[in-house]
Amino acid sequence: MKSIIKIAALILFLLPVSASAQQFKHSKQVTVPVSGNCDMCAATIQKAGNAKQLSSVSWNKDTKIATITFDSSRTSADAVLKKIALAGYDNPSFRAPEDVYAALPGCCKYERAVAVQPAAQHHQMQDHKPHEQIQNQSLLQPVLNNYLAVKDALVQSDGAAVQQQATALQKTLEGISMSSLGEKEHMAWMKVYEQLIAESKVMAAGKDVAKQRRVFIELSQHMYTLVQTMELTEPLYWQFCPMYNNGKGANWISKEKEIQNPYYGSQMLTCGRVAATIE
Amino acid sequence: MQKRHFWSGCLFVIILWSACSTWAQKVVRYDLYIQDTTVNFTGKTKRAIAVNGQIPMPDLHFTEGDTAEIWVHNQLEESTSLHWHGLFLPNKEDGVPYLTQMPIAPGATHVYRFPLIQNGTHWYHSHSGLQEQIGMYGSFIIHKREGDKTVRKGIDDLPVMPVILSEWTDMKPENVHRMLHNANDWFALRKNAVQSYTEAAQAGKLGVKFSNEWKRMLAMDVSDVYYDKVLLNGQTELQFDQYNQQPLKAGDKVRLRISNGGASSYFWLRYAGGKITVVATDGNDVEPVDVDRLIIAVSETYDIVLTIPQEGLSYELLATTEDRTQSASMYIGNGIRQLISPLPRLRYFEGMKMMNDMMKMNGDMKDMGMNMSLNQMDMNMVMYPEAMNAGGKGQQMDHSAHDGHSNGMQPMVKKPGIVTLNYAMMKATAPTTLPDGPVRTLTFELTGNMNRYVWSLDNKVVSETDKILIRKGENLRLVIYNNSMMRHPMHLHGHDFRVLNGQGAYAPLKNVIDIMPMETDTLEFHANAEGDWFFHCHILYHMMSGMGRIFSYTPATPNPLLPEPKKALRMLYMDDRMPHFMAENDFASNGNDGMFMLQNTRWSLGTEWRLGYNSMHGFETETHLGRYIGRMQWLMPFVGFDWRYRKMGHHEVERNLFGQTNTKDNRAMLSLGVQYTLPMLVQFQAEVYQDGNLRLQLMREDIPLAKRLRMSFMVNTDKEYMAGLRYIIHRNFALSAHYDSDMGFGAGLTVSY
Ligand SMILES: [Cu+2]
Ligand SMILES: [Cu+2]
Repeated sequence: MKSIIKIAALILFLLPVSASAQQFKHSKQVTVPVSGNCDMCAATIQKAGNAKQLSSVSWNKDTKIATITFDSSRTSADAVLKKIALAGYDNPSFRAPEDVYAALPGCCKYERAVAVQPAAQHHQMQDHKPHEQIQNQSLLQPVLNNYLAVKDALVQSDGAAVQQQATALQKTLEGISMSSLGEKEHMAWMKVYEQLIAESKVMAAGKDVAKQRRVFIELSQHMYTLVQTMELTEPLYWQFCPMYNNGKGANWISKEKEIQNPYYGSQMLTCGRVAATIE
Repeated sequence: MQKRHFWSGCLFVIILWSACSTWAQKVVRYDLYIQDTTVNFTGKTKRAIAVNGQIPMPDLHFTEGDTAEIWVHNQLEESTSLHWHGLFLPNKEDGVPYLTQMPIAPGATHVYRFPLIQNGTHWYHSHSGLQEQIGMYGSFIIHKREGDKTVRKGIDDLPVMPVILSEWTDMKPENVHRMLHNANDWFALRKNAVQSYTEAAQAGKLGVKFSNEWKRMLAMDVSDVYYDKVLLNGQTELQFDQYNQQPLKAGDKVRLRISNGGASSYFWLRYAGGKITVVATDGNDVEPVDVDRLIIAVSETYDIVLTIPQEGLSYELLATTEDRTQSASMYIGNGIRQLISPLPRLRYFEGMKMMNDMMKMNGDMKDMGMNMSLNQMDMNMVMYPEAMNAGGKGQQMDHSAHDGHSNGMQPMVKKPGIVTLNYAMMKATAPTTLPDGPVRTLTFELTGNMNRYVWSLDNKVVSETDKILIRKGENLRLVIYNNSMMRHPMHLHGHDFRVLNGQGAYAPLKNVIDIMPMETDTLEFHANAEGDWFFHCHILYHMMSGMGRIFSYTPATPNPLLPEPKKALRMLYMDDRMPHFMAENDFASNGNDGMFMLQNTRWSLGTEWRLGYNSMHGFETETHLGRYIGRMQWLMPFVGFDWRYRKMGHHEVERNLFGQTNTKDNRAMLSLGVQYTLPMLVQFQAEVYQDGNLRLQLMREDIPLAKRLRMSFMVNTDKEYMAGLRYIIHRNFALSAHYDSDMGFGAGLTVSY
């Protein structure tokens, strides 16, 4: 009786082992060198290649050899190796995408068997230089310039000047041809341009600085959305005055790092801080 | 992936070159044998159609000036036809059954014969039913004549390969079509794009989901159908490693002639070896333009040039469906295969939010004054994670100014902006100005209703309109605005049109233009033919739903292949008039609950039943015949017939909310009513019966609580109510539980078709 239990226990114990060694219906096994460095690589490689009832991979970090077991009726070694390459690991069949390799953690950055020849890269760079120069100056630069002029007029607390500059801003905004903007700028532009025009209109409607400042809060927020997508020639500063607007605070964009508060002007010229640098 | 050769050994290519040497003109003859076949792309054997034993149909090659003579031997048990997509030919050779010829009957042979008066990359496909989906597509290449002055060095002399893209589903296409019309969300489930309330909550977008349903929209995707496989020349993987027995090497350029023969999928094309140079579209040369990627709309063709940068590597050209669920690869060159990273999954709730912003409460789209056109701005970009990472903006934010973007995401990778092809970037290689002629402008609005899968122009399907009469010599200008929620590749038979894209005299020529939601595009063409030409959306399931028009030259010229044109036209109209059937029954512990429905573009006939297991629970059926009104089809007046039998207790009187009574065990009633879709997609029904009784009812089915979990409820003024849950386990099966005021609590299995 006891022996039967023992045998049964043994069978129960063995079953899962033998099952895991022969997981698949049409099981096939190959060994393939796969690049990599460390235990982290092993984890990534195995995770990429393992699939329930389809394939399993074990990678040896000393030999750099992957043992791939798979169901040959439903997949192939190549298919598994493709997944491994897409996770960042070169092998004799596939080379990982450049950006995926670049995103690997530092410790995993193995030496690649096939290096990309600099000549090829160089050639491509040259091709695109003139393109980049044209694109360097954003089409939205005039909008930004007008905005900064409005801001400067507010710093001076000069309602008439604000009116003048806001009118200029409105004109510039209305003259932007959306279809010539880059993809990202375009997305941001769509989100905010209606408000920007409306706000500049309000600011251009009178000479009351207090009123203009209240609208300037919104105008600045919308400009900020836009500016973040622009190709900038020099950094900008996203500045914050914690007092204005009943202590809720308000932001503005400036070219200078030093605070020149447009919400209070000479009253409290240097109140505020840099909240972010936009480059 | 292993290559799959499903055709049995005997791949016979029958190409007979019979040169009539007395004339400079050469007749090139092909024989095409169309046969039923079975294929196995997924592990399951399914029916398909093969031509000369292969899928896709064989590449057909000609030289401009040749006469094509194509013998079509229909060995199917159904009729067929072949349309030569993008070609200028006599109307009777255009291959649209019931419009330009009678269908080719089973067993019959039909000869298409036409001179080739153009060159470029074109393709051909069946125009009968849904045959295109199961294999009937192929490349049709017309080479330039030797010495043609339009031959371009470095383009026309490159190693070249025709590539035709397509998709495969294990489902019968008729069933796909039926399910689309029944707003079945099985495809979304397969794509993991159900966009349920739970998923919305997890993404922090519950508000977005609410406002989406408030505006009466069902969850949307960029495409409708889930496919099992994507194919390049009928295979999931292709290699282009040699040309004329010479291996390709570093520095070589190759040209691919790519046609999208997919029934409903757009494909992104991206290349691991650098830029893609676009040199032609729809068979017309354009000035070379370098891009990082392009999307090829259904039925478009593009000629692209790719460079092999380095020895020892072959480079992946990845074709990915727009919904990003499937892709196929082609490797160019020799050596280790250099991969390109796959496109990341779409951010559906961003897209939903965008749709909410763009959709007015009345179902119209508003473009917020953007004057969108020519694919220049892809609104779907809000769903592309890669577009948000790119752009090369290094932002230094301090932590007080944190925005949602940087939360939980990997550090931004600095990448240069991605250049995507759009129609404004294409310029013809020679002026395309039309010959002089009177100009007539026709405007079209692309309209649709996703919930009922009705697709139309100006809210009319083909069968609801007359042919549009045009005169030879006119210049027609088409201004097309897309007021629907999906993009549509609009195709004109037998003519190329100019796409007015800001390139002046050099506007590119095309015969398909993809129009995204809210875009307006202007096209013009010179009417220089005779006969009837189809103008339609090339998404197969949209076309079959009636999204098209017929341009008809007047005065009409008789077509010898159409002895009874009026009768034939009625047959053509059948396509979009056909009703779609659906049925469902819940086999529950407390009774049977079910319905069946027949619906077409405007009409709906449906019966619901509730059958208890004993007479106290009762038996009840309700039948409605209604007609949908308006573009959004929210309103449906109907006539009804109710029959009910229930054993009531002694002196039991049923009283509704209005105090109206009903004492009959056995009740058969006619009714008049109206159904209206309220915000949140709740169906409101008001029904008056012949005995004067009134019933008001609110109901909603299929509320997507979680990916596989649906809720439903019903409440009415007869003091009946119901609430239920369903868990979807299969396209046709769901586990269900509900509580019903008549029959109490029940659980069971819902079977639906
Ligand atoms: Cu076509
Ligand atoms: Cu369409």
